[in-house]
Amino acid sequence: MLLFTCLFFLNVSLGSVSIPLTDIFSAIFTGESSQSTWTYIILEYRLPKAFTAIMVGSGLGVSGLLMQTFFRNPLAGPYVLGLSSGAGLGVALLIMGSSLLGLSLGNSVFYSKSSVVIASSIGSILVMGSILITSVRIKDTMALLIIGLMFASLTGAIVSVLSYFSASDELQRYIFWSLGSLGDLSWTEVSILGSLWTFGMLICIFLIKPLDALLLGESYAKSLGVNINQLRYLIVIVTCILTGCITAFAGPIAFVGLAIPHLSRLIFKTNRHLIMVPSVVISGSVVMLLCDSIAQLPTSDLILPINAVTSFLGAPVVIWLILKTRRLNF
Amino acid sequence: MRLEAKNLKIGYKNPEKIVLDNINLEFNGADLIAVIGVNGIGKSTLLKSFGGIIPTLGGDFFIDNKSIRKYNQKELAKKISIVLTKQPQPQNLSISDFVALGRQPYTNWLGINSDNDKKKVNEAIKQVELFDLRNDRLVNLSDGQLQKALIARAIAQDTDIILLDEPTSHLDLYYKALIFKLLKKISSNAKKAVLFATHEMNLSLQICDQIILIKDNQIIKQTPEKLIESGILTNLFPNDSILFDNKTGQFNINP
Repeated sequence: MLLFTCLFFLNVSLGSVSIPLTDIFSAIFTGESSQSTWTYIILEYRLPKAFTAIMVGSGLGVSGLLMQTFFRNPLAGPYVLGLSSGAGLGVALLIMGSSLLGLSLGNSVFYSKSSVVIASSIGSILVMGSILITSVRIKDTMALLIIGLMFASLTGAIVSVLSYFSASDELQRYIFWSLGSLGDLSWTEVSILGSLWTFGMLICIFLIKPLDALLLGESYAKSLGVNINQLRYLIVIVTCILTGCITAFAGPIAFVGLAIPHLSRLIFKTNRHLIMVPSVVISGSVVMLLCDSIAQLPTSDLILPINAVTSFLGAPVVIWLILKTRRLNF
Repeated sequence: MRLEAKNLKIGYKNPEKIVLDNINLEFNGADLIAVIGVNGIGKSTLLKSFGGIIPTLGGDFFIDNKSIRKYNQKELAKKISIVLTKQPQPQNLSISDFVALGRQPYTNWLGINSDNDKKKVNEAIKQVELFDLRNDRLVNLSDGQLQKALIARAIAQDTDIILLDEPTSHLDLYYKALIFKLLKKISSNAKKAVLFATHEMNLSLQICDQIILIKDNQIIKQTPEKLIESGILTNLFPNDSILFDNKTGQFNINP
């Protein structure tokens, strides 16, 4: 918690414009600081970004945890249901597909932030719908996992074809989106993200107990009085909401969803969801704030793409942890 | 507690495969009951159907004179606990945490254990003699200890009936005997009906109160003595490799 608070303020204090710490506190708590531009930067840019980082890290972490328990597979993450790829396809169709289809209906409208959000939401919702329909017909979670991966490669293929034929500036726009970004969100967008995040998290709290039973497998969970079908739907829905809205607003953030649950398990040495869910929320937020602070490249004007930072930092850490403990106690 | 199967038909849907039909059985009270029969005859299917893990295809099964269809999942969880042959992956859980999962039907929505739950969990762990290891994680246990932990979880669920699917597979002879004695103790001390599928016919004939023999799609329930007297065990297997000795009541290798 302490680390979390420190990182929150560290994150807010870093940026291309250096602002003294005292002014940051006064801007946050009183809404005023010695320069009005500083107040503006803090309140309208850095604070929303810090909140986004927290929601992205914790939301993706929790999605990953749910997926790993649900599929009983340590490799599962929000990506495996093909949600991020669905969102990617939506955005790719918007940015690169529209001109291919001869739709040049006012480029400015098409490329606006909100249309990207809508496109990626539609993409995730379509994939989510197909997965829900599939999960009604197919009761085998492993089959569902494979179908999710197939969705991912299918959408990936379509995106490749689109990018092969599209103009370089469109391709660049798409790649920028796919690199992920925590900034650029207005308070309205943050509050939309926040309400969806809260909704998903609230359902998740009610899933803590049945998720523990699911650790033993579906038959045992059933024998402990868990309604398996209801649980399956709720898990898929929570993951879709969290991953869908995060991807829509911040782009497909790699790695966090897979790695955060493992990190928490290694720290807390348990699988109990009563401990895992809060610890994933906190460690997800901490990691994301940290990654974003590093992406700011302190004392410089450059901002690295957040997606590169998460993987660049995270992958070696996880490899090191596995080598050290010699096994993932999944 | 009373169990009764009436014209029960069990098997799988999609594609439909009837494993056993016309099952009529009745149990009363706290007995140790072994379900025996050759591989693939339907022992596990029978137990899973009794436990409500797979739906029955026809007929009816009554627990305390109430049809299994009329129980909801949670009520059933307070009547029957199961221990399956396909063991859960060794988890990052301590024995205490694992056994505590057995209390789920009784805990609140967040799954927090009350003092009473904790007491029951500790009793269950003591009963299988794992109390000294209660903080060890499942990954670190031997097969035999893991099996004991699984049984403790079922005990903690505090049900009248415990169903076990091949509880002694993968175990050495010592642990097999130990688990059998443990099951006997549970059924007689805790007054539970303990029903288990097994291939350990020799041990079952020595220790069980009742035997359910599945043979040629027929189901016979008898005490071990009467089963031996009836001579039905003589023809259970082809005679070239194994023979049943009626005097000792044991199967022996045909030299």
